[in-house]
Amino acid sequence: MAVRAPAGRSLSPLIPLGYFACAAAAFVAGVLGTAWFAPELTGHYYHPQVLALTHTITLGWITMAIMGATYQLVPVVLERPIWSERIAQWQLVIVAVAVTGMVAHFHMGTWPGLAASAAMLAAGIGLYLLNLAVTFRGLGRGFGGSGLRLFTPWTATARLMAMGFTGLALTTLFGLSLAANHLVRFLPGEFFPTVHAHLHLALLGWVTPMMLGVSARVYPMFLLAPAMGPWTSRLQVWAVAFGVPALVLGLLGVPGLTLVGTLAVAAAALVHGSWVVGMVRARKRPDLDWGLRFTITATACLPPAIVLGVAIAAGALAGPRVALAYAVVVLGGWISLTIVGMMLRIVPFLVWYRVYGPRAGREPVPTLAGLSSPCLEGASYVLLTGGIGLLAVALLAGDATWIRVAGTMLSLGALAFAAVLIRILRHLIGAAPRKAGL
Amino acid sequence: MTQHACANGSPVHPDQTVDDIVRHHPGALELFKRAGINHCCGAHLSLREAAAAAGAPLGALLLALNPPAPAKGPHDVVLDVRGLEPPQPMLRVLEALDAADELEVWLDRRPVFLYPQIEERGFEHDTSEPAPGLVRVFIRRRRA
Repeated sequence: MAVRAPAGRSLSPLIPLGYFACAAAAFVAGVLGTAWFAPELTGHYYHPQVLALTHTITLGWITMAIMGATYQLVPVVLERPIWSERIAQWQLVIVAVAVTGMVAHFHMGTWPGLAASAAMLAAGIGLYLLNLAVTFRGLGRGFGGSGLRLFTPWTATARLMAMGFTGLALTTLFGLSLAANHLVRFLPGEFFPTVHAHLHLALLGWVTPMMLGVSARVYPMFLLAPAMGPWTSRLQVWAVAFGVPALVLGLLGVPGLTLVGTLAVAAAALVHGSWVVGMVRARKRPDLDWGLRFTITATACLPPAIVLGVAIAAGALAGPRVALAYAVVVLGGWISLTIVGMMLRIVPFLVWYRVYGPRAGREPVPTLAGLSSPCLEGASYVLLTGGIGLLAVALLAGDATWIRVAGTMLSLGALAFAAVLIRILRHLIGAAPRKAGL
Repeated sequence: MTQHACANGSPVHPDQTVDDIVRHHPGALELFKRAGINHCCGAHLSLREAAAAAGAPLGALLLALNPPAPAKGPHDVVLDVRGLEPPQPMLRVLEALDAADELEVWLDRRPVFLYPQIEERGFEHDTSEPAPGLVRVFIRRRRA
């Protein structure tokens, strides 16, 4: 049975590209800060400069990159346009300004300014969630309210994304409460477990479902491998849906749940890792470009992350150094390397689509690889992967000199990555005005 | 739909090995050389794998190996772009549309980014999913 596809209008590629550009700027700033604040990183993580660095990476880099990826991927996954392009544009400005304000106030240690910036960020995230909630509305009812269900709308990606949006809403409320609590103490319980719960809600409730969901959709496409099987996706969805609330509640005051929740999340990570390994083996694309090497290396960071996470939850390892090393393996190894790899695949496509899509078939157009620089991508791969491994070890040892060396490696790698993006984005200069929603 | 037919009567399939194709279709060797497909080292690979390895468009190779017979159905050309990574499917379709008024395209997934491009070029499209992993899009020039 054939249907007229409801896809005559797609989001401008400039929207996700705007988010990616801001995210990359935050990434460069964050890793430069790692080298600059090396002595501070040998101490406790609840330190103004360390908190500023953490939020530069988690909000500026990771969250903005995921937001950009969402705006690019949701129309593809749901086969419907984003509800409001204008909201996506305003949200970008609000979130960028708010994150800058938060990082600055963390750095200065001024709580009223931090609370105001957090409120602004919450407004930006609220717009994001509103935009996506309206886009998702009525998803199971088919196209145009016709009740026609020719395609499966609630795919694993759509389910995991919906879980991620819920996690983001809860993380935002939690973070806003923490910021307000610095002005007027009202949160019950001990301080550090509450901070840990906030971090894990963000990491596992927002970032992890989005990472799993996006990879379920794009990895098979990029590797030319079979799509994820139904049980693989179900196991991940269930493990995350059970594990994250259990872990967060455990941290907030039900200790018995912490290890159970951690094991459930670890199971989701193991299933994901096994799926990636199987897909790499079964792929029909024999050569791996640097973007794919980044994502596969990122997946290789999951086993050490799982070991560290379970050991911390079980009480076998403890202390701020272990916590910082764990954060680097997860935030830097798994998440950041995945995002870098995906950006090296997605950004050239979006630029190609905007600039050369209208000319394709009418005149010769360059390939995606022709927009980028494999040499710079390779340099970025060596420096970033090596730098993250070295940083984790240096943090564990608490050695400021080696932290600075690792931070310098990461900075050079991030600059090489930024140079690749700039080279690709330069193709937009002088591009013809868009037509047909391009 | 156009009936595919080869020089020797048996159509080439994407899962046939390169070696098998060359043995049954001598003209294929020259085509593979031009497409950068290594017949010596890649003989054991399927056409789909060899095309992916060489970055050659599978659909175009199949069209060249299976020259279309005179149309017997409503669609002049069938283009199989399954197994190609973005943006190759879009590129192949837009190149084919430059010389055709009607086109049937086989893809791995719904081409959400392609629809605005073909609409802007004055074509309309209908999409169906007859089997898991096969999306079929009929494209025809919009009547004035």
